[in-house]
Amino acid sequence: MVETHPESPPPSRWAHLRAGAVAVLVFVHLCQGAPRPRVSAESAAKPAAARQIQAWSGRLGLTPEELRAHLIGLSEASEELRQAVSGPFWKVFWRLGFEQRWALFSGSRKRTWRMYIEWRDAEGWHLAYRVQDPEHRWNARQLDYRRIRGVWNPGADEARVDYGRFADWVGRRLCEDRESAAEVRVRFARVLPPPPGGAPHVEDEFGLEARRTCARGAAR
Amino acid sequence: MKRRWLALVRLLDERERATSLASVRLLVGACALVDGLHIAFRGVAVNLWGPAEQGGLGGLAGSDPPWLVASVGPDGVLTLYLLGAASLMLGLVPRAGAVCLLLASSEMSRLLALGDRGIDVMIRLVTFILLLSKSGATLSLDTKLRTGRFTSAVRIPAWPRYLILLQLLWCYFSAGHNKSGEAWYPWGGLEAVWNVLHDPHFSAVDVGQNVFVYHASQLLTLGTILFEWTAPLMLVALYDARVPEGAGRLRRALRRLRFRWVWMATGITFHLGLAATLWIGIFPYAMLALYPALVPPERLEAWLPRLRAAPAEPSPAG
Repeated sequence: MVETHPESPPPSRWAHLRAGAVAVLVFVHLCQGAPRPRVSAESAAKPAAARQIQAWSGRLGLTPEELRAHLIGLSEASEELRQAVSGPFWKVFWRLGFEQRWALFSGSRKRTWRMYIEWRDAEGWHLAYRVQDPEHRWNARQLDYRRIRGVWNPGADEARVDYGRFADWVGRRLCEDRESAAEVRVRFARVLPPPPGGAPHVEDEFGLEARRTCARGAAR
Repeated sequence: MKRRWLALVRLLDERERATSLASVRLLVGACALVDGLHIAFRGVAVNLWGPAEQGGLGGLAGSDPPWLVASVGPDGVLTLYLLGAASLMLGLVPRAGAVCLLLASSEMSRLLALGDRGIDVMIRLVTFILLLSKSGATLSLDTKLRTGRFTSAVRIPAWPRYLILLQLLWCYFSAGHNKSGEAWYPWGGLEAVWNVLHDPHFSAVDVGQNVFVYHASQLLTLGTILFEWTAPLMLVALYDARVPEGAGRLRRALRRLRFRWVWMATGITFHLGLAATLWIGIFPYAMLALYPALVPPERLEAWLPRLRAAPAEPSPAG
């Protein structure tokens, strides 16, 4: 059992100090991760957000423009409050890589992607790596690793911020590995989950393509 | 107000056996060690944190690398990470190990932010708490060297376990209220789990177009949301387990539902399910590594008698 002290002498000064420090720590962390709207003029204009605003404005008896303005105002005010509370601790959070906003599969998009890595020589394009393809496993030990996947896996309909550097990296390595390679490309096939009982999706739509040219064993 | 403050001070002044906290330390260290060994065996340290001229993705384009990687290089950072993880797992100078792990992991996150996943943040947060705790008081090499036995009945401050418990519950609740995609809710068809199971970048199983699996996945989507949103109720249930007197309607209902155990069993099943169906690395295992924090040490020792220590010893000074 835990030792409590219901009738023991009052807690020491150290116990009070520790409780104060823990309370401040918890409060700052909660402020950092507290639920708050994150709507900007730009994000509100995206189709999915616009759809939601349209639907909710009807339920709340507001016009979509009014709801959008309210949400943006609330987002800005809550961000100011968050910065005021956790701002002094921001450097510690950044240095130690702390974060209290947990977004785990938060979107769960219907339209996802499948990465293809290909190289071209005089005969045409060849597949080097494709996600979940046991026949094409070029550099899979590295590409499949969760931290590297974080760099190439598109967040939504846009590539990750480091995607250009990732394409440079893939280009350099694949050009070195395939001596006849003239060009390397990374692209993503659109994947839709099949409807239950329906036919599987055909991967015939590609996007987020990045090409790198090989020159003297290195890509540009 | 003063009474509540005193209650908080007394709560954070409690002491308990170290078994639960030491189990968290051991399991978190083991998960980090396995992850570090993955990096070593796959040979991706330089790829992850090295500059482009060495074939790496890291290096903070356009700025100087952080001091640690500038001093010891990507392999040095990985070595520090491995040493820290092993030290935590074995309980050999675990506080020094926690410093190494924290330093190496935070450096990794700054070098390649996109490669830093939620579970890495969680490991850092918990390691920080372990650093401030006496988690090496049992189930550790330190104890073995000091007393000749791996276990000890020494009592340590309980507040680090409470903080880890709070961190775990917050993570779930935050994950719940950040689920913005329509697919997580009835108006979006509860298709989130179905979608994830068909995402080639994550799915580890081929569920095809099976109608039964589709409906089961809808139930799992609903279950996930309920599990995450009800995490704060665990605080009420845990409080009720400590102070059964004066229970109101909510506490009595949670007691009748055996909420504490049902919620924990759901969490364990949830993570084992994730491990079996998705490629998400150490995430499910490292989250499960925190579950001993939800269980008082006496209860954990009753379940796993091998963790129980022999007669009580005096508390270490400090």
